[in-house]
Amino acid sequence: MKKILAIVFVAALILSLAACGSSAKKEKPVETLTVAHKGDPTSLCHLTVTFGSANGPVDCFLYDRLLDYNAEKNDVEPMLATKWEYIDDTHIKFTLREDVVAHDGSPFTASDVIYTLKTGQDSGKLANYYGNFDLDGCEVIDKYTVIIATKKVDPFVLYNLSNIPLGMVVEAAVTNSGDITVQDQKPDAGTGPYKLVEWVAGSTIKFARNEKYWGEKPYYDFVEIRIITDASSRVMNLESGTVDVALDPATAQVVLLEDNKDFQIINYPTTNLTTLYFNCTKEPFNDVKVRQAIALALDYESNLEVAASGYGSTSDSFLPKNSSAYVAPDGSYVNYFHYDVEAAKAKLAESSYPNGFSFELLYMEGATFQAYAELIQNQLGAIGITVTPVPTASTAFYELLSAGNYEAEIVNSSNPDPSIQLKYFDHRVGFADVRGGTGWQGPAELDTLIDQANSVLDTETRKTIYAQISAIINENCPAIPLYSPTKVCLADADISGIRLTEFNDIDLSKAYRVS
Amino acid sequence: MSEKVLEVKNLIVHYETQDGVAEAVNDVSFSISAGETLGLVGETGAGKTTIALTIMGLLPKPAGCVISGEVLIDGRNITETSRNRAKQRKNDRMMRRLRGNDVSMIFQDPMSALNPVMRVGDQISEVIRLHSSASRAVATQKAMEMMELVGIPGVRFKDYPHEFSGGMKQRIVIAMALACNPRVLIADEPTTALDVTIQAQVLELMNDLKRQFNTSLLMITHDLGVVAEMCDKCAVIYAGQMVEHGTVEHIFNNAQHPYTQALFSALPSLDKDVDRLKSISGLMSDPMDLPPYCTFYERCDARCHRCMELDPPLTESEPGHFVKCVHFMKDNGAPSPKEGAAAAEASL
Amino acid sequence: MFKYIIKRLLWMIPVVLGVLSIVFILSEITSGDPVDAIVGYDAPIEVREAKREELGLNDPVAVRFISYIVKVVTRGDLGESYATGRPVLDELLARFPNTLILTFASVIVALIIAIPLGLLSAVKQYSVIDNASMAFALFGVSIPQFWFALLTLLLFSVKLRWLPASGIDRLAGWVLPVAMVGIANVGNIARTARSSMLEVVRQDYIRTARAKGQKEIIVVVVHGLRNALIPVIANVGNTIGVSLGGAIIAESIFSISGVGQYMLLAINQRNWPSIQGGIVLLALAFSVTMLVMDLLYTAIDPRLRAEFKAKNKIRAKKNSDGEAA
Repeated sequence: MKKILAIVFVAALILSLAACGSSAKKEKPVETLTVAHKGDPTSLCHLTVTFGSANGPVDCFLYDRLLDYNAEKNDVEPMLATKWEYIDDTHIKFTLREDVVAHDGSPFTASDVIYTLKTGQDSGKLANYYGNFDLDGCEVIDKYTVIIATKKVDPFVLYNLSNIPLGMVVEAAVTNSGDITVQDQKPDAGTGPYKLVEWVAGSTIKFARNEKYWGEKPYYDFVEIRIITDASSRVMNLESGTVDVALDPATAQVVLLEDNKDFQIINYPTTNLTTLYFNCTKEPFNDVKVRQAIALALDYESNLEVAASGYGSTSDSFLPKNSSAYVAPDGSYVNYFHYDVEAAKAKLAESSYPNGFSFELLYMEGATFQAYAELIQNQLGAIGITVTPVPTASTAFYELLSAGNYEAEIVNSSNPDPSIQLKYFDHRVGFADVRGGTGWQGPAELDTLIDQANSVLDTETRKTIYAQISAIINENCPAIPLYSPTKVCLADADISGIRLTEFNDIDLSKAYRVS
Repeated sequence: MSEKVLEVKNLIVHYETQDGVAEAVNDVSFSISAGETLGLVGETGAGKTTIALTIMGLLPKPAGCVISGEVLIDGRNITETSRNRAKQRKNDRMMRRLRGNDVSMIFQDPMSALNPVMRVGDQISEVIRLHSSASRAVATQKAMEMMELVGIPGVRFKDYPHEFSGGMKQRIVIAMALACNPRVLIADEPTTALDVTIQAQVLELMNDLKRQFNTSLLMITHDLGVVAEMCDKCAVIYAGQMVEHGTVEHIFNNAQHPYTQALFSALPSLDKDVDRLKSISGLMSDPMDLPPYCTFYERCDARCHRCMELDPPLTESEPGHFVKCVHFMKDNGAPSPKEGAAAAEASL
Repeated sequence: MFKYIIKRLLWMIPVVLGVLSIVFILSEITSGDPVDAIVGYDAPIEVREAKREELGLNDPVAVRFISYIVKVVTRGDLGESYATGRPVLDELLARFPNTLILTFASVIVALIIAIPLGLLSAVKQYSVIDNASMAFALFGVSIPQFWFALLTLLLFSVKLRWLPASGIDRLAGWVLPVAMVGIANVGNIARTARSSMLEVVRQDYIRTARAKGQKEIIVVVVHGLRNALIPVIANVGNTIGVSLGGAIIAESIFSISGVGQYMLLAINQRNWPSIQGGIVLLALAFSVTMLVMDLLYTAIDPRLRAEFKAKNKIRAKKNSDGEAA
């Protein structure tokens, strides 16, 4: 027994010495960024699947877009494209980098841009992102110049092109591997800063640095994404040092780490908006005074503090303050999106329901939504309206919304493109098309204004249109903006370079450690 | 008579339960010499099994405790307890060595006395291996011999208990009990659970083996017939006390205690023609609440005023014959049982 | 015995069919369009309809049921997940080993703790040990698993930093989940072991073993335990069966990619092929577990074995009688 122990001891000693020796030789130790993520992506290639909420933070390691999104400036920057210019309202010419290769080594050229757009459109699953491209109008000028055409004028096409679902793939790489569905699990057609090493479904996704990357080489040698479905568990993984970054933490837990110097709280303003929508096709919400009374009865600032621990901002428009199309009320109309109980009571007294009424408030299960539902219940109770909060599982929730089968609902929409947000207020769009909305029949001029806003390219002109739309919506209150949540994630204090994508996802592909 | 193999001296055993203290055995003394058989007779609940378990050191813990008295096996006191843990462990170890080796026991119900999930051969060889340094093979050989000895083919060594009839099981239990050639064998109603025909066979077997091994036997029974057939001496137990003690001849030919007499009159007799058997009226005294006087008083046909005045000691009424009754106390001037009965009747 | 096993295995077919038909009926009466999960909510109507047609969702439920069964039987094809488009069988087989490891490791941990605890409690009934271990057992049964899991994570991972909070590619990553599920199961098993053992230690054969001069520990463990084991095995069988369905809480808190999480997600997404495939797998796993437990009974108790043989003999006799007639 003693002999065995001695042998084991000596062996351990030698091994540890060897380990020390080898690590001493290298200049920079191999570093892995470990990320706690809420779920498996539906695929590692965005082109053939519905873009799920778990896909974004994963895809940005693998794919580059033509343009990159700069969240601080709320603008686009060069990425695979170095230059672009509008030929006319629906045609844009892009000049591409010439030193880009896919993970398998195939070079990225102009035809790959059109291939990507065509594949995305053909899949039929990404209509919001690919639906408006006019493939026949697109044209390869030379190996590194391409013209992209849109069917209708699209003021947000550049933003769209910087979006993660618009990640570019190289056709030759796809063909070499078989077809596009192979990329779902073994992607090598992207040009992104990391390559896939291994994906153990439901467990981990491992990336290694793309040594042939055209841009600045990423800091971390490896990235390991761990699928941890439980939000509290993700935070504990961070606290225990098991992971370096925890995505989508529960705000209640984030607050607990506010004073902890070992960790930083990434808190980026977003274009997300959590909104209370009324079904204006139903009583009593077809009465504008009822809607106005409710808008006045909510204590926006305090609710944000209580329900979301202050991680967010309130808004007085149908768009979040962070949206490029946001216009603040200029005093030319009455702003109902502020807290005034007396005014609310007075409004309700004028309405056809002076003695109050009761309704069911539908929301998707979740701590913040629940807190909001309860606060609304409380505050509307003060003016004599009885609210029954109805928490609902996500699938059932969207089924009810699509069927228009609700009185009022709370939903968080992440639509950086204001034209999509506007669909909720457009009576020409059905409940099923936008999954919910207001069903509200606004004044006739609204339809015209919406069409204009979606087709005018000039930013200033568009702003004036948005101001008019904002005024109409604010006065009629078919929906009430509750708050715009910030994108929160937790990370070790020494990690920098955590970015926000156009779709309000966290992009860790350029993260690095500050020593 | 030869040396005393088993001696029980002034044994008092109580069961201490939540409802109170049951005085199960009250001042019982007896002894058995080598090769001798003592019958312990009494009705259910009289404390016979408690005496047996005390001798085996198997009183249910923690309820059963030896209050005073001694049990000597080959002169070694086994009832000693110690507060010192090490000492107590030593006592326990000694007791374990005695059990199965020097003193072993046959239990009442052969159906449940064997482990149902163990081969019978293993159950017999277990005791052999425990008390000797025999190897597995030797122990197996010995176990098969023991099986043959009690009339069961050795090849059935590998069978399980459920594959045997009740009588055969009891034979196996006997084989197990005698496997280590114990000095004392305690048989607690060994035939009660068996058919009458099998009973005779088993008793005969026990008698044979006892003689063969020169084992002393403590036969616990409520069957006076078994006593007549098997025993040299007999002790009658009532409410944890020994009320009469003597040779089988003493008890059968000259039963003196009213309880013993009542037991005999409750037996069917071939000579006399009676329509109904006589039963002993009333119930045995509650061991939780024993009277300070004669415990049989309530049911005694021969009771008199003196009986309530004191708890009579065991008195030698003739050489080797002891009786615990007021009427047999010396120099007390009390009337004999028959006179007492007459007097009692007269007083009514 | 061989015949019996074959028969039991054949019995699984109706079990699986029965369970499957319930799932199909449920899929019929549950609202929700699986096409949403496949093509997305914003897909045009034509795309959705084409997909419905392709998947046969427009067929009556009976037709779908039969074609599903035919596919399963003839090709072992459990269909493709609506969510990922990958074969359900592959997805399940990738996750099943984790569930198996978690199940068996935790049951072993539970047994290692529960059996001695149960025995000790029974042997020292009403003692301090008994009360303490039964309090522990009660704690294991009644504690909310979710809370307990988070607490263990907080203590051993966050505060003490002894063990990683996730990552089952290393052995250390298994420690917390296995211990957590194991301890949650201790209560049940220990209580069964105790009550069963209490009955056994009162039996005459235990007294017989003591009368042989056998050591108390051997009396309890060798003579007592085996007799007390049958109810324990029944309990363990159930525990394994349930755990195979996925220790959903442990899987989600400790980030183990197992069948439980997979099914949970599938149910949320109305991903019927994944749900059906999972159900088939679980029904089979449960049936096999029960069969193994039944075989274990007969291994432990010769009386059951005898009964079993006797039945077979009677049946054989009946059969031959029938032929004669």
